[in-house]
Amino acid sequence: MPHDPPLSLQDKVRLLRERYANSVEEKLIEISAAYDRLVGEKEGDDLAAAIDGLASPIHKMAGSAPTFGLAELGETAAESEELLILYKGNPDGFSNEQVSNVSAYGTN
Amino acid sequence: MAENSLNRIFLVEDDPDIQEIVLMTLKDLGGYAVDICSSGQEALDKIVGIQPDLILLDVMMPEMDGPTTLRAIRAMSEVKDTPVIFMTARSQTHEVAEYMELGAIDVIRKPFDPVTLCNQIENIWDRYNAA
Repeated sequence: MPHDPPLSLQDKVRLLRERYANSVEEKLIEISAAYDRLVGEKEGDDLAAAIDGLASPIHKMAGSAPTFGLAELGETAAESEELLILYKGNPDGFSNEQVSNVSAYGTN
Repeated sequence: MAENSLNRIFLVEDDPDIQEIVLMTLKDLGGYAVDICSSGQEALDKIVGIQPDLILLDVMMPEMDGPTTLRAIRAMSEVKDTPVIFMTARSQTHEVAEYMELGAIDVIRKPFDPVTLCNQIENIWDRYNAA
């Protein structure tokens, strides 16, 4: 029985990139859910934890998306992460519009 | 004096997507033995048993971040001299300076090109051994 030839590194990278691209929707759903939790905590005691809960998947996307060939998505995630860092430092200094921008990044 | 044989690499990284692509690159392209863990605490628990030649250490991890993990490694007599390369998207000049001050031998910036990652690591390794 013939065996398939081994995949080259480029082919393996291509397959991983395809798989990552297919997982993006799921990752954005996770980010959206974390954003909803942050909005729910906007007046609550666990605001910092809610910010961290949103920052974690966004940070991962900022680092991984460009590695898998999705540069624009990575840049958008990085911008969102920067906003969250600023927001964590001064939640009261942010307008609702600025906060909603973070969510908008995840849905565009 | 630095050792000059790079065979076993320990990747400490909490993102499974990055774990997978780094593992594939290091094993397939570099031929390295690779051990992986997902947190700083897990790294501390396993590192003495692994005795890696080199650690690739993510900076931003929940609970115990990369710098905290590195400080803890430097306090463990069995592995305190193990060279560490940080992998991070946080690579502004002052941040890189902070990582080097902590004792990292270099920083690999995220995003990275999987195809050239081994070359990056080998160049850093060669510079480290020449120092």
